[in-house]
Amino acid sequence: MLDILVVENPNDQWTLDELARRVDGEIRVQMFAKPAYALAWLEKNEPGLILASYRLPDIDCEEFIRQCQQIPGRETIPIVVATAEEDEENRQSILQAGAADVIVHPEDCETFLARARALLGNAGSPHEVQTIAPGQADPEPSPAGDNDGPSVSSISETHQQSFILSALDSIDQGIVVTDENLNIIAVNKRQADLIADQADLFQVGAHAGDIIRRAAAEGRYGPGDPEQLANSTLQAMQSGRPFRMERTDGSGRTIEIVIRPVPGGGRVSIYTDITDRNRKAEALQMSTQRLNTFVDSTFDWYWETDRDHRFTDIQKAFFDRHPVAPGDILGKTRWEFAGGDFEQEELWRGHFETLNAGRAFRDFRYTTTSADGRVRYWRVSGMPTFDKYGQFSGYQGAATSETDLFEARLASEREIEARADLLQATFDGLSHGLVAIDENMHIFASNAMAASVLNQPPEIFAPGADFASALRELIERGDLGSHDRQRDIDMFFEMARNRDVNHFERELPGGKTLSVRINPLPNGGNVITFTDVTKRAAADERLRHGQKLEALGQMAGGIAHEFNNLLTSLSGFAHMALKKPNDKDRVITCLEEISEVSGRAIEITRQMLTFSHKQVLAPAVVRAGETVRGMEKLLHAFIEASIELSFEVSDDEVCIEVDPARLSQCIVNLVNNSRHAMPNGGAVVVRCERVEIESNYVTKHGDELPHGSYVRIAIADTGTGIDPESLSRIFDPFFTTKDAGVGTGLGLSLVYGMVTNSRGAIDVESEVGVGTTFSIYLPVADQEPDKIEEPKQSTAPLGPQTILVAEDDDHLRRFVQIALEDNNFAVITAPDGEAAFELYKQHAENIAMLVTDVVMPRMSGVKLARAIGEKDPSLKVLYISGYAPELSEHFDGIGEGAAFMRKPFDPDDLGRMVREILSTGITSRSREPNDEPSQAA
Amino acid sequence: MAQNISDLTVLIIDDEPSVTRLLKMMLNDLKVAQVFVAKDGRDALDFLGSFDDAGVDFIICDWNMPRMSGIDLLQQFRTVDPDVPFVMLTGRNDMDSVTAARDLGVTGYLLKPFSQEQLELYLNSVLTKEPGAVA
Repeated sequence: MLDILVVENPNDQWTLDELARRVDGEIRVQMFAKPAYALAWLEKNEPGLILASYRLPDIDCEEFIRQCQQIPGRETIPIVVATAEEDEENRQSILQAGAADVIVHPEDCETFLARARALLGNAGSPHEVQTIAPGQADPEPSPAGDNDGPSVSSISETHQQSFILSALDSIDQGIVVTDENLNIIAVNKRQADLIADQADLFQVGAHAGDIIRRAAAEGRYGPGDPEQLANSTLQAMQSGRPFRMERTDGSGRTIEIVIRPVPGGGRVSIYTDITDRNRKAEALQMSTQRLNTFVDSTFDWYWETDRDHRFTDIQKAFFDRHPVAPGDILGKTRWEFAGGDFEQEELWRGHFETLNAGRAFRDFRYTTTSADGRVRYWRVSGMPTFDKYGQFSGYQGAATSETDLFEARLASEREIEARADLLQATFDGLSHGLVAIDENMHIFASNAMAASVLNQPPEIFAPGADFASALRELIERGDLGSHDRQRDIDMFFEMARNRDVNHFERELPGGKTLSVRINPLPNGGNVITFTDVTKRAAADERLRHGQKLEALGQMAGGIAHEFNNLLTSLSGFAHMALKKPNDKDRVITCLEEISEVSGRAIEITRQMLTFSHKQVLAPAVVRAGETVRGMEKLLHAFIEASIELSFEVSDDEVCIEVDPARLSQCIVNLVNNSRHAMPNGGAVVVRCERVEIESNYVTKHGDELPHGSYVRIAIADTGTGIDPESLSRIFDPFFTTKDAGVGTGLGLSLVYGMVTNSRGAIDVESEVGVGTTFSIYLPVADQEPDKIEEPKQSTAPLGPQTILVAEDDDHLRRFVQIALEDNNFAVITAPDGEAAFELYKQHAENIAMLVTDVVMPRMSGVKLARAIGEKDPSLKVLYISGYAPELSEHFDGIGEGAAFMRKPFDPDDLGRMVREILSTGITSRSREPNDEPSQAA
Repeated sequence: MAQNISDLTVLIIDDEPSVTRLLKMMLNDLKVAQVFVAKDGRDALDFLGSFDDAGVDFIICDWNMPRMSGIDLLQQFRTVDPDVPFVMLTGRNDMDSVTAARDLGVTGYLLKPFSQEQLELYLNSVLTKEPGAVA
């Protein structure tokens, strides 16, 4: 095979590429428009022949030849230079530079083909090819038919001459024919038009020398010494070799003059107006420049390939920006450049199909891997090109590197991945359980803690799982510590829907306290946070209890005063009765007074014990008005007489779901605050009413209360009021305006905690010097109030049955005896546990029931009951004590469900209780309103 | 001023009805001439205003009451009558209150709870002292 390297000026009118392809036989033509690329290709390839234009862009032809031959191993490759016109001087210098041959295109094409054929014939040793002697290429008179111009070799016959002159007149070029002495012998008409300003000179008989000198003098040959220009031009004409020159005229036109020898020693000068051609070249150049600017701004570089898809041209910008040598890509196909065999790859197969079909392609993306392992990403678009015969000649297009883009994307992907890993690690490392769900309650993210905090297997909250069914399962199994499962499910679904931040706490089976927080996500869905707050809940409980004791302490002062009054009456009337025991009316009056006053004392004590009752959060549906009214006596006892306390309950039926003991504490706290705000007396109104909140309401503390029905419990005083600055902080823990030692400042923050835990809110309005109103809002509960069992009225005595009474207080023992005897029971009594046990052993078969004090010398009530229980497990026991069971260690071991009655009590109540226990067989009764297992302290 | 218990006209002022009934029973046992009862300071002022002079020989007044406290009543009463014994009935004995009451001209204190004997002794001790002296 013969490789022919063609280096061709794209501005030439003819194509060397075409010429080279006319070589018969097995050849491969590699064509470049840029000498630099040709040289780069030459470094890597060894063609058998080089065919180059004389007028090369960017480089002198002779220099190009030298550079070719400086490439090691390429010194002897024959180089044929093609010129447009004969110029002996040029020819000599080209040959001297090292060209093997100079041909005038297209006249001497056969010379080139002959040389190429000769090389093909000796393809094995192209360097030993016979070189054509320079002389052989000398211009020889050619057969007339081969020439472009008309033959004027013989003008002997007038007829023939005038015919030829007429023919010359019809062509669009100026023709001037001179004899061997350079005298004009013929001029055509077009010549006069082309050189209008010197038309008078071009007369038959005139001498070319005169014309040349005058043109040079008038600057028609360009800048320079006119005489020198004229002489060199004249010499060229006299030399008899073809040459080319340009002249301009006054109107800016450019005339190309090609002078060639004619047989017989004359010359023919052909004048062509090339002004348009130059303009077009300029326009083309500008258009190319615009295209480059466009390419630069949209793509990185343009490229061209030949009909075999080998790169023939690539914009220099490519090599400037990428570490690719021209030789690594020029002359190669795109896939060779990519360095692979891609026949099997779908991406490339599609590309090959496009190229084979000659279709345009857009945004074809491929990669290359350089020696250092760096992967480069390319994006390329191309259009097929066609030569002047309409034949497919290759592709041209633009390309860009997306390496930076891809690397940046890759880096950002890696960063996102790293960030996601970090997030997941953080997520997994949290001590909170997190589950993120979409609007359809499908889990899309969760951490391991979520399942573990709920004591569940990890898969329960795996991404993709249905949170709704997982939750339903949890609640139905009781693993969420629900007391009303359906209500819990409804509540949770409502919380997930309502787009508010929701929070509730639950005690799980096993004693763990769980906080559940539901936060809406901005685009739908929620994040649910499960937190084990057992420790915090315990601390809260301790804090709440401590605060309660503090409030109790404060109450004690007020209540002591009240008790002083009551005791004054009790002891006073008792003495008055004893003074005149025989005055029956007087004694009855005194006893009635004592009975009434002690009834009040009992009520106050009961309320205080309720208040101090230690219990876990025990929400119940209660009538709001009843709870508020139930505090009336306690509050009256607690606050000074100088403060007028009144209650306004406008709706007796409305219910709320709340822990009644905690609500009582809140009201006590708020009334206590009012009390402190009114050192010189005033009025407090405790109001309880049903209110409708129309639109969402925001409290002073920034809590939002959704619209709906509420119970408002307001505590309004006529005290000193709270200044605006303090008002904003009053719910903060430890914020207090009271003097040191008066209070810890925890009261309001605990009220706040209780109210928000019950899905309510607290608001405050205050004006300095006028008073303050605290309002607790709690949502109305649509259920019936939970049943708090009252002792049944049972008047029919069952007796006489024998009751064993153990009580160390003599007076009380007598009181119990009288009360039971009045109720038709037979009673035997003992002053302590041991004595009672002895009595039991004596009268075992007659004793129906044991009524015993808890705290007694020698043997406690609990021990006594246990001792008797060993002999008779069915024996019924009623404990009587002044201690609340949950506050006293004496109750340890009392057993769940023991019957209990708190001192002091009414004789009728005692009789009723004993009857009830005996008749129903219920042994698990207590007189406490909250009928729940005792919390032994 | 009457020198014997049996000559006394006594005004009892207390918002606690069982205490006023007890006092009334005790004073009747001690054979005082007349006992009046007011349920707070304001009520007492209305009652006292219906006489040209004090109209009573002895006042036993609770300290803590709604509408008008014992100390406020004392202050107003002393502007009208500086001599009639005015005894505070109280559970408290803190120094500040005692000093305040003394400055306003209180005659003495009767601490709750008290017996009939204590009341009798106290009345006698006030009656035998110089007017204005503090027990």
